[in-house]
Amino acid sequence: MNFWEYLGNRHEQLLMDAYQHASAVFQCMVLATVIGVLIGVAAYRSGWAANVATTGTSVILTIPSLAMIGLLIPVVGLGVPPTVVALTLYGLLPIVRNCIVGLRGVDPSLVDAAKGIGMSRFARLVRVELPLAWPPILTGIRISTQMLMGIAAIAAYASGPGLGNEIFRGLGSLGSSNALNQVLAGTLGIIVLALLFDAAYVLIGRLTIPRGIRV
Amino acid sequence: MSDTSLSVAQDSPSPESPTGATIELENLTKRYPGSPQPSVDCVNMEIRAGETVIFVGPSGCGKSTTLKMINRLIEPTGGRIRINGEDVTDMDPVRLRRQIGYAIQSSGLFPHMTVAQNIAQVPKMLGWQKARIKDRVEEMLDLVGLDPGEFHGRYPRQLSGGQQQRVGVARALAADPPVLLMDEPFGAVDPITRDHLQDELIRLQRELHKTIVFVTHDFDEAIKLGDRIAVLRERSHIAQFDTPEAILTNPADDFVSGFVGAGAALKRLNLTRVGEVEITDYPTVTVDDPLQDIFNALRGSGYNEILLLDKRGRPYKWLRRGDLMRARGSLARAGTLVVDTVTRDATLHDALEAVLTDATGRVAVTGRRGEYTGVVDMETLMNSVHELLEADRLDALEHQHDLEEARAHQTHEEQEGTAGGSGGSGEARA
Repeated sequence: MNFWEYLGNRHEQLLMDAYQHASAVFQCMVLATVIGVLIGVAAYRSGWAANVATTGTSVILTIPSLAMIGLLIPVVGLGVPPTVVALTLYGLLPIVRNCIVGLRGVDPSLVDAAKGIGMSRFARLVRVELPLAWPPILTGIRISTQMLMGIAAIAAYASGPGLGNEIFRGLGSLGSSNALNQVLAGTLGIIVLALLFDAAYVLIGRLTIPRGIRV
Repeated sequence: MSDTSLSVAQDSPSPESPTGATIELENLTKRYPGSPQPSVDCVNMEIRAGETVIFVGPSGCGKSTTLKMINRLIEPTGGRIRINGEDVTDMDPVRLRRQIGYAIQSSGLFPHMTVAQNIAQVPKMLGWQKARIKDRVEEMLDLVGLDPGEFHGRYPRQLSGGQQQRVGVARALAADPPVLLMDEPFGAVDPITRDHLQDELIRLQRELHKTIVFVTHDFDEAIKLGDRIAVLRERSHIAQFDTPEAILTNPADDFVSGFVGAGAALKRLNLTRVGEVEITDYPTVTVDDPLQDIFNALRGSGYNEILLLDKRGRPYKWLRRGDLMRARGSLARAGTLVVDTVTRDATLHDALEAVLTDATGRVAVTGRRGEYTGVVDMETLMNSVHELLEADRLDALEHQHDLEEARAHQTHEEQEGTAGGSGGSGEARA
């Protein structure tokens, strides 16, 4: 069976895996974005807190993904939970770091003006600082997504969802007739998904970055 | 000539309907932890409603800090601030700032919002109705001289520096605050635009009568805009707090005179309008008069030249005796054209300029439609300036005397122990 025949035969299973893969990455990204921005907002004003936040999240990123998922299994069990926890944790670093950099990059005279015309701390953050920091934050989200696409494949190790199952199945049966096709289909599927997500981010950027600060 | 109306000496043009509020600073102090000297040390000042007060001083003298303490962008470490008699030192700063307009250098416009959204910020926070905000935005754009239809939807980066600054002022004034704080608002624009913006601010203030506190390091800007100027030295100590006239003619000490710089008498000319000095009559004839009459008028006038007016009564030409001899029946080519005229609103500086460039040594003063109303000559100018300077000097002396008396009185009270912590008279101690 050549690769195309394999695709034709298994397209239902592949589409299902791809959908689950995308869905897992998307949901984890939403979580990582919310948590990451919250951490960034909490930390950006003090040099000390910002350091702790970036160092902490980069330490997480250095843990090998297989080990991380393996370590999570006894804590949260098999299947979806370790996948979500691991992906969310891995996704934090680019978002936290870009959020801090973005918020710090806001022109202090604008913050001064916002304060001076009577904006509360919250209004300043929501109406001035975060919108101005949004382009770098979005870049962070984009980088995170690319990263998670690959890492999500490992989730299959803990019986998680996604195209990783395809790859692991292939690797597990190396030498058999479909092994290579399986690995290839899983890998290419992830690449295609990553490209689709990236295109979506370009569109989101177009739609959400105000014209006044678009480069 | 001595009884010309010299309204210059009055302290400030008290507006008919002040919409501004008084501001009192009492022993206002800012001390940063870790520095031995306070950066603002015990400032006492009383700012009248509807008055434009300029803080001027070298960089780092604390003028900006003092300004920012009024809307509590910087929290004072000591002293009280009262606006319209109400103590705002412990008021919720966010609520306080919504009642105080704030305009800064480089405009501080939010780049991700349109011009209209920028201006709408404060009204929105105050919970105005949408329709009212919309109307107000249009009104404000109109007020600062920008076409609402054209600029409404633009982003700040699509505007020139001067336009951004106008929008900044519009935003500061959008909720009609009684007080407007301006922190070197025109510091970052080119000189021509700055001049323009200053004129605009003067016009605005004439309409609005806000209480404006304006920080600058440019003394000429201070003279141009201020009803009163506070010259500040290090730690925001007030070296002199007085009208521009008084500071120009009678600087309190070397620091102030150093700051005033050279040419105080010339700068003084900018503060007086032609309408305030004596405008003399001058023999005139019109182009419709017969030549013989013009001859007779000139001979009878005792002057060397006579002013020829056109059909609508506007100054047209200076005619000399010789010109008439050579005219030979037609005035078409006789005499010298009047190059420059001034209105009653022009400054004496403009008038002097015109007198110096005009061959006859005098300049014609014109009314609203350019019609002749009189002339100002070199002699009048010189006499007026001398009188002005003399009057300023007397005024300043009197003022100083008053201050000394007040101070003596206060010292006396303090020695008697009757003046409690809050008993300061709020008098500006120069």
